[in-house]
Amino acid sequence: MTSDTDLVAYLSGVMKQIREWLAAKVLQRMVVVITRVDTQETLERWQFDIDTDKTVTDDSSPRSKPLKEIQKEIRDVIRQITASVTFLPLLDCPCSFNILIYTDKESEVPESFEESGRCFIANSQEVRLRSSRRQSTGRTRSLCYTVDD
Amino acid sequence: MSGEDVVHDNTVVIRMMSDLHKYIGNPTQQLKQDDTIEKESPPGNRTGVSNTSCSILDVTEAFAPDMPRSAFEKYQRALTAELVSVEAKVVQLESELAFQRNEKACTIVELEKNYTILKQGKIRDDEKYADLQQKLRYVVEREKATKEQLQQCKKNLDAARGGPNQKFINLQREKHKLEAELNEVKQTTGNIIAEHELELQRKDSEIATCVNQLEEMKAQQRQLLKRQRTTANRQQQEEDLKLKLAVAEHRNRELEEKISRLHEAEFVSKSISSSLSKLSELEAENRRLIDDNNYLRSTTENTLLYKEKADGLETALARANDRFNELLHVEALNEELTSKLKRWEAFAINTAGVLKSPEEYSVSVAEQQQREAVLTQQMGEVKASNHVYKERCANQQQEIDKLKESEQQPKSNIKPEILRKLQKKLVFVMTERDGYKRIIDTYDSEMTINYQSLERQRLAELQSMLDAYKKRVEQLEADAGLTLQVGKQEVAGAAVDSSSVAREVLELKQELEKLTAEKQKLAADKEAWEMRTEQRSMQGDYDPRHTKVVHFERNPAAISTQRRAGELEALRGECEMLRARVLILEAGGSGRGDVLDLTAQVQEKVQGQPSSKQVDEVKNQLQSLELKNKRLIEAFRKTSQEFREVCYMLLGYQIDMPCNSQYRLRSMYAESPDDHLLFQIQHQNKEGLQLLESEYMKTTTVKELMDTYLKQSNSIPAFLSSLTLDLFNKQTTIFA
Repeated sequence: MTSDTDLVAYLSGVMKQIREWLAAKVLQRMVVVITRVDTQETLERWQFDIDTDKTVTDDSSPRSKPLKEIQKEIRDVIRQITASVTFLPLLDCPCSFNILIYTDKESEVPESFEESGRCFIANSQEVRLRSSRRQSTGRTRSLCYTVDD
Repeated sequence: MSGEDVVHDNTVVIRMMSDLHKYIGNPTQQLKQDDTIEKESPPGNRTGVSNTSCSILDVTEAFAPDMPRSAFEKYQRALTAELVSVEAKVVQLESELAFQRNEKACTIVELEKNYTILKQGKIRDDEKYADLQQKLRYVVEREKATKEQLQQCKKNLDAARGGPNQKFINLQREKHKLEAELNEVKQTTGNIIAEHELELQRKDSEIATCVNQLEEMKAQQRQLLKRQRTTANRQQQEEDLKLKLAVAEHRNRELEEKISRLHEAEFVSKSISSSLSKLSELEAENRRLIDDNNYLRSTTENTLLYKEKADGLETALARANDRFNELLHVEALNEELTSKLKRWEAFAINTAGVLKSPEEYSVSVAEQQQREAVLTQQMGEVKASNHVYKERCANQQQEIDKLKESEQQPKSNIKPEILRKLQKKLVFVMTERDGYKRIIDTYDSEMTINYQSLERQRLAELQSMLDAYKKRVEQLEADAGLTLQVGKQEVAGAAVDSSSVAREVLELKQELEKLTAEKQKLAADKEAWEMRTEQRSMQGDYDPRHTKVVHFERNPAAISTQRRAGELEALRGECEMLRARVLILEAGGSGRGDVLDLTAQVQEKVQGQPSSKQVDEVKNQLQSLELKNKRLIEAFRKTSQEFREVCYMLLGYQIDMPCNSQYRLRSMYAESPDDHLLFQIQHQNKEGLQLLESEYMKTTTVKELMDTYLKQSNSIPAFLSSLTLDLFNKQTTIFA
């Protein structure tokens, strides 16, 4: 984990809000975007589709899924992400990252958040990753794609 | 126990007497006993005991066989006193006994403690003794060993006598040493043994003294035990007495309770007896009351029954009254009707001898009415014909008039025969007319009231309705026929149209094929579309109707770009500075000493030359401000124009401003454009408006108005309005 205080603050803020949105079942997708600092060009886009189960309410009983299975799926996803380094093009320029969050139109957005573009990559190549299903939060399909050189 | 109780208890007295006799019989033994008590008791208590013995002796002296009753009482009193003293003594002895017991226990404990200490000391001494004996044995053994060594050494010496003298000397020295040591050890052991023997002796003596003390203590203990036994006996006796006393008291209390209970029972029995006496009375009364109650109940039932009956009777009475009233009414009606009937009958007899009942009469009336209707119809016809005749008559009159005129004018033209004929005709017509008139008059006189018109009207309506229904029925019948016909036609047509149906089926099949083809095409399209949408969604596309994309405001990318922009700006500034520096260096070529000045110059130059960006910004601002100003001016002009127009229309004055703080008013109805009023605002006193002099003011009308409104009332609006009115009047008069 990082020791950069700004980064830690940023991640904790984003994760807190994501938790709220997940609980409110308005989260649709999370995207980690890697951009080139000098040109603002999007180089990589890691997209995680999240299907929340809208039928789940506060009163309904939680869906059970063995912890082992969940951990296995997470492990598989992470393994795939790390393995994708082999075919991703090398980033040889100063880059930065950003987290985009796709939510329902009606969801409440705190002041610290603002609307953003989707950071589209023109002329891209897509790679589909394995998907995993978590309890009650639903499917988490992971996608990654890279710029076409 | 009180003295009186003792006196009352006869057994006590007898026992005392026997004691006394015993005492008298064997005084020495008693004395001995007293002596033993004296010996046993501690020195503090001796006096009390001796006193008691003395008092007893005194009593014996006072007591004689022929003792008077007072003396006996005295003796009794003395005995009670003695008893009291004995009790006190007993208490004292008890306390003493307790004290002694405690003391004994303490001494026993102390002795035991001493005994244990001594035992322990003895055991320790024995142990020491054993140790010392062991030491002694050891020392003896050592002595033996040393002796043996010595002997060995002697042997060695003897053996090695031929050796060097040094060795011998050494050995001798050693021997001396060992002997000295041996002696020392012997001395010390002897001393120790003596000490221990002394100590043993001391301990033995101590043990002996302790044993003596123990024996003494045992003796004391025995004595104390004896005393304790005696006191225990006494205590037991006392307890027995106490128990007896308690039993007696208890019995006494029980008896008292019994007495009180008996008293209560007596009281209760008295009250019960009184209540019993009352009870009989009450029972009698009760019986009486029950009888009364039953009687009253029966009477109440009866009264209720009577009441119901009364109610029923009242209602019956009311009904009967009603009936009676009805009956009266009916009788009256009957009378009326009978009178009517009579009248009717009379009338019927009068009018027609045949008609005897009202029904017949009503039938006859109906007939009459029908006849009347017929007559009225005839009358209408007659009227119509009358009208026709009248018209004809008028025509003929006109003709006659014409003929007369023509006769008068050209008398020669008209023949006298025709005239005669016409006159005859006229007379005929006139008579006819008169006849008709007469008939009408008779009819009129007969038919003043027309009952039948309404009925006729109704009949006509009903007839028309009947007609309408008939028509409707006919129509429906016609419709039914038509439908039947159509049905028949359809049945006939179905057989004929099988070929057209086949054609239709073919068409439908073709359509189906077309639709299936279309469906397949659409499915393919849909698939392609889905693929494309998925692709797009993979690329990050989304539906803006349902989704929005947000990100944290201070995200790393934004921060880094911002930082980069800042860096870029700083670098540009630096670059510019360096360029300026280069230029200065190139231009001035100043010496090395001016390096410091150079940076200052560079800064001056950089700051002095406003950057093109700043200039642009300022220009932009200026342009925007100018535009704003223009718009404002336009807006103001528009509004002021409007305002003036409205003022002109409302007040009738055109207000201009020829110069500062002057206002020119020109009326709508002014005779010439030069006619105007000039006002000036006076800033010194607020709201002050001054009318300036002009040519127009010199006219007479204006002057008059000024006099009336300005000078007298000091009201400019009134002046202006009066002027307006004046001018308006003038204009209108001119136009008029």
